[in-house]
Amino acid sequence: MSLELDPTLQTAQDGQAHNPIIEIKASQWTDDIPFDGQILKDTVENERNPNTIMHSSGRLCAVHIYQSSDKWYIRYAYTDTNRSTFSFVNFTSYYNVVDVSICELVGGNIGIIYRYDSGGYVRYKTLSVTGTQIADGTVFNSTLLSGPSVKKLADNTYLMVYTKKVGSDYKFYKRTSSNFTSWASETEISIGGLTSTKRKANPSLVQISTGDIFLWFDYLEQTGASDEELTNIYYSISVDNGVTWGNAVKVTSYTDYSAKALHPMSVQKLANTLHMIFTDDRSALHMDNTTPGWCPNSYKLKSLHFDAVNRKLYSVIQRSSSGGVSCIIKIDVDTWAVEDYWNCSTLPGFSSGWCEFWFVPKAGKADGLIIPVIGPQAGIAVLNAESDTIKEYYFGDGTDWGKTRNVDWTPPVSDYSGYYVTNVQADYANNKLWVHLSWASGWHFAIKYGWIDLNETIAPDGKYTFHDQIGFYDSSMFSWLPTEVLFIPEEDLVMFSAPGPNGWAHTGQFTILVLSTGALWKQYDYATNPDFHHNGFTRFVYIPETGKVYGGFTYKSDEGQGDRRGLMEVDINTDAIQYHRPSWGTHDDYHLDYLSVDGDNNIWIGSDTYGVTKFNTIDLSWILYNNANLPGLTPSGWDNFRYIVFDDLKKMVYASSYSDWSGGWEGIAGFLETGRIQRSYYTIGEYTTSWAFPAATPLVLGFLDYDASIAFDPSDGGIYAFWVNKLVSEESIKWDKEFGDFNLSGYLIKGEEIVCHRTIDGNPAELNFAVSEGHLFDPHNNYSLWSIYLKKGRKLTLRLGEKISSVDYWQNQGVFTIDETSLSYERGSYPVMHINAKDRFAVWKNHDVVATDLYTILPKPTIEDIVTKHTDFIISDIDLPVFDGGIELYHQWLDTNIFDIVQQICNRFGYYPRIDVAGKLSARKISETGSVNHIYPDVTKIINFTPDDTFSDYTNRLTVTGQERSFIEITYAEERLSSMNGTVGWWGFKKDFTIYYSDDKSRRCVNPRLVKLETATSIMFSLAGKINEAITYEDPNNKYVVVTITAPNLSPILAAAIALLIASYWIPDDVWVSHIGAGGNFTILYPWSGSVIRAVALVTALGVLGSTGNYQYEIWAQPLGSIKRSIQGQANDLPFQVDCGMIVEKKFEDSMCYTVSQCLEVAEFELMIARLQRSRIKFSKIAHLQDEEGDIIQIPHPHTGTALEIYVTNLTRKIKIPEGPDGDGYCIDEVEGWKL
Amino acid sequence: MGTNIKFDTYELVTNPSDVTIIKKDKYCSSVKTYSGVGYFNWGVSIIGKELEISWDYMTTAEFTILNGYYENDDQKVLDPQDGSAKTYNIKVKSFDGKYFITMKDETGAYRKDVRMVILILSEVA
Repeated sequence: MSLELDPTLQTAQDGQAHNPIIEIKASQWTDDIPFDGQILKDTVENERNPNTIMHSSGRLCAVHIYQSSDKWYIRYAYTDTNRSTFSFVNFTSYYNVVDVSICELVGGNIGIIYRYDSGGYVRYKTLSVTGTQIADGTVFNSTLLSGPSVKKLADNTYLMVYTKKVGSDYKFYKRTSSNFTSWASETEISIGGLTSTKRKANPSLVQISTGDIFLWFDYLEQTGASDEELTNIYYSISVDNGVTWGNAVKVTSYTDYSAKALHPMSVQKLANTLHMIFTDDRSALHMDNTTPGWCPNSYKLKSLHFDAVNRKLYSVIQRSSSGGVSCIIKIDVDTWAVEDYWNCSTLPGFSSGWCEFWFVPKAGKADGLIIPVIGPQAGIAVLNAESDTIKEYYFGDGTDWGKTRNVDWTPPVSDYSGYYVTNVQADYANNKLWVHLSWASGWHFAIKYGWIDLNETIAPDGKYTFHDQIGFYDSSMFSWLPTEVLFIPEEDLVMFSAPGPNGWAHTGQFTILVLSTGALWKQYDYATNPDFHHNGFTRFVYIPETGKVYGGFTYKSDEGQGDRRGLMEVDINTDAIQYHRPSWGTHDDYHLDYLSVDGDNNIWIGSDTYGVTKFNTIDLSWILYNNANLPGLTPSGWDNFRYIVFDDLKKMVYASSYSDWSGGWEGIAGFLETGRIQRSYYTIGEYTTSWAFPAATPLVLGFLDYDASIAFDPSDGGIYAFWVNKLVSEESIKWDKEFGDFNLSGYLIKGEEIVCHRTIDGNPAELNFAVSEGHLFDPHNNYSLWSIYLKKGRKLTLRLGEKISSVDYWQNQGVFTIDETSLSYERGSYPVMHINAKDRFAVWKNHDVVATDLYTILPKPTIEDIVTKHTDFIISDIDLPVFDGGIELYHQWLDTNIFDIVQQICNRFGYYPRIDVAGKLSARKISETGSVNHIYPDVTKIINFTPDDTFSDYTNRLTVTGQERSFIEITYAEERLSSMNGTVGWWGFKKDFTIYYSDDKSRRCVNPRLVKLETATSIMFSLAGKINEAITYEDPNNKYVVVTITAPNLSPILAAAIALLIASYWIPDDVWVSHIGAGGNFTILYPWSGSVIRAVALVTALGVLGSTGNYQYEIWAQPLGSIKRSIQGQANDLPFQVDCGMIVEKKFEDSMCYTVSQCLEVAEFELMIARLQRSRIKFSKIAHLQDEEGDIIQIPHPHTGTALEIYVTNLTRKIKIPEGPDGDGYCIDEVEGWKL
Repeated sequence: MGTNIKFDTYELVTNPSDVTIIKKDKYCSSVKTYSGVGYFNWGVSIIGKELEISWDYMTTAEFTILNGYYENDDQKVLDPQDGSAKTYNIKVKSFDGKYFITMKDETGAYRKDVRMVILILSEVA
């Protein structure tokens, strides 16, 4: 369906004469607030106290103080009237300036009131709006506490307010002036509702449209025992131009020393509203199970992991004291909000059992976006937060919770039961999971380690591969099972720690093996190295740059260990061992158990007793962070911490506190390495019958971004904000703009084409244009306020239309992302900036998804799910049709970008994906049988026409191959699967051998047969029976056979023969004598003679004893397998085959075709495309805003006048505004398409 | 009417001998089609219009003042004193002339064939 224009616009577009209008607006894809900001002036000077106003001329004027050569001076900044460029003027002085305030004077000049830090001088300065100093003088000389703040009032007089400490009282004072240079003497301002002895500071004035004057200030309500302060923001209103003031009204609601509100300022944008900005100053950010979005049934935090690239914090949370997984929670550290969580009720989620109570989950070592959790039955669940998938691996065959072992590995001893996963460690870069398994029985133990390829996919009944397995059974290398393991694949090392607490027979042991071979590289224990602590490491960290291992240990007072406290350091290169005792306290056991290393190789340690401590491994210094020096570090006030991570970018520490006792707190505290968090917040008050200010929200992103001052853009109402940003020790002024939309229309270059190109070919829609003021839009021009508008990645919205009877009628033409900008500075040439923008598909093409879910649903919900999960689009940004011929897909995408996934699905059903003119994801059918969208009855709008089959080829047969959706079972050719051998003998033999078809006992085979390569046989066996060798049982599941071998027992025969042999010696020979002539005769023994019996017995015994031999058999069978059967569909263009005189075939595979008819559908669709490519034409016409790519347009043939229906494959809309009255200009559509 | 052209508050001693009429230009164009024409009218505007102002002669002092506007790239408000009561923010894009060696009086030497091109940035009123 083509675009539906406003009827008036439609009529105008149908005509010959046009009054075109064009609009391109720049904006941001996400909310402007909270601001991230950019540095106002890129210098190394410290800057503070920003104060800004919007000047009546349209200029933005600001003032702040800056430090140069250890002195603080005034810097005035102003813009041109278009607010495009900052200019700066510095004013040096003899004394340090400590406070500065600005206002516009009557007549348009600038007035500045400032204060010196010594001498108590309060002075004024008047400037032209461009910074030329007109006058400078002293107002008065008095020691102030805070201020002054100055404002020009509606009656064109000036009012300044400040606070002083007089005796023990804190008081407000005011002075007035009619000319800014001469000021009346001070008058105390009396504000009711405040205690005179409590501090009032940072006064700030604003006069609203009703004439009421607000005096804002922060008020010290309470001071703690260690000088902790509780302050809140208050205001007082004067309705008589500052003569009298109302009672103080409290706006913020801070109640304890953990946070306070400071430095208010206020600006009015609309009548009956008031923006109030203040600094939220707190010890720490907190998050726990009361935080919105936190997962249900949360009991205990089991880990903390920081993904520094995406700035997300993850924690594995235990469900209850009895165990189970509550969830893995994901926290955005910049917005300090729960972003997501995964448990057994989410999709994806853990399989059933993980969230039940009977086991205590253990978190593995996470890396990047991979977060593993260890469960029972040697089970591991791995969250990949990038692909939003959870995979589960089971090493055990136990029946703990009915999981099936799905990892193919070889235990060092025993069968697959009894093993448990001790440690897992993710390797995000290589998508590996290192696994360390243990087994123990009595004093016997076994260890195994190796890795799993997280990319590996298996059939539903298949098994994952456990790579490079190294195993140990009762190895003398280990005195006992290690509990802490660190894999270091970069150095081909693996480190094991087996702590030996007091009272155990074992001392601590620290072992380093070569990862790939399991060979021992280093080992430390007390027996062989007395410098090593008797108890070994409880936990440890390794710093590769220095080759040093650091870890905590349990204090031991005897056996020469009494002087060893704090942290143990082991240099694995020199074997030198040192101990580092914290300088912040005197204890025996510092409980330095939970360690993490930051980017500067400092070690951050969560102590379960004393707080969080930082150990500098360079200068060996210690810093302690606890509730004593950071009041409110934990809501409970307890200093028990465990897991800890460090944000190197913002220097934030995130630590988990735990609650094992009543009054404790289970949650995450985030605090700055440098101390308190200071962040500007804002609230917009509304007046109905009185002023009401809702809860404030952050104005800025950073945690050391404070003392903000704002002004409103007179053209769009957006906020200009200036604030102090502190990075390490440098304070800079940052600024930002809530700009909503910035209209570029006035800067479009006349005489240059504005080109919008759309196509069905899978390339993103494009917008190309050029703007003037390139030097101001230059993203590298730090002094330009416009430099932020055309940065790469920003959003552009294009509208075209016509001005009809002085009314603008618009039609959306697309939403784009800035892709490229180019600008050339050259003497004599005006700096024009050229912009190339593409629709959202360009971003999606850069965004690979590691693995999607396995989808078994229709194409439309599949796309919706993938796009909403993996892009910034929400469901309302998607406007897909129900696909004709849509079937349930059975598909998962791996390492594929989002656009390709969407395109594959759309193309499968004969659609192409598009971002429509409103910026929504849509799809249109590619069809030659659709209805005509737009009929051009004549050629009055046609500029040119040409056939063009450039892109066609000779394809006249299309074959598409797919795979059936389900697996079928097939029998492969017979093969040898196993062999067996042994020996049988006269002693008899009967045994059943269970022969599996594969080592992992998973292979299935049919038609087994036994092949006897060698068999033992003898006369005696033949006489006594015979040897039986046969398959006597076939597993009904086709996984094994039982081979039975039996041989008769000849022992009784042997015994009888031996007895007879012995007896024969007592039996005399009985002979018959035969005479055979003279002198000759011979004797013949009768059979009962002893000699005869002896011979028979001997032969028999020897025959039995000789009845031994080897057997050797093979098991042959036909393996069973499951495959998806290939199917294919073929489409033929018979007329074209005749034309070509031969068949030109193209083949391709489509894994989303599951039947022959589906393959045929795809083949016919592709053949249609090949055929239509041969009917390709190009033409140009006067632009018509109704037309889009994917439309079918009917135009007359320019020569014959016959109607041609054309499917628009490419539409390039070109607009050129004439450079001058005689210049060239047009609005045309260049169309490429298929003649249907 | 009645006074000379002004640049800000400076009133010319010598009014130009030739000035382009200050009026808006119409930005329109057409495209010939196979059997017709497409016509596009982008409206009228004076912004960006260049005007030529020329003098047969002027004093060296006035030439120096105007040349200062040119070299300093000052933005000036042009009051053409043409009866329209409209003034314009302008920039001097080019300014040149010739020596008028033969003409000299008590004010000094003159310049002849002076030509100035101004760019209209916006209409003030």
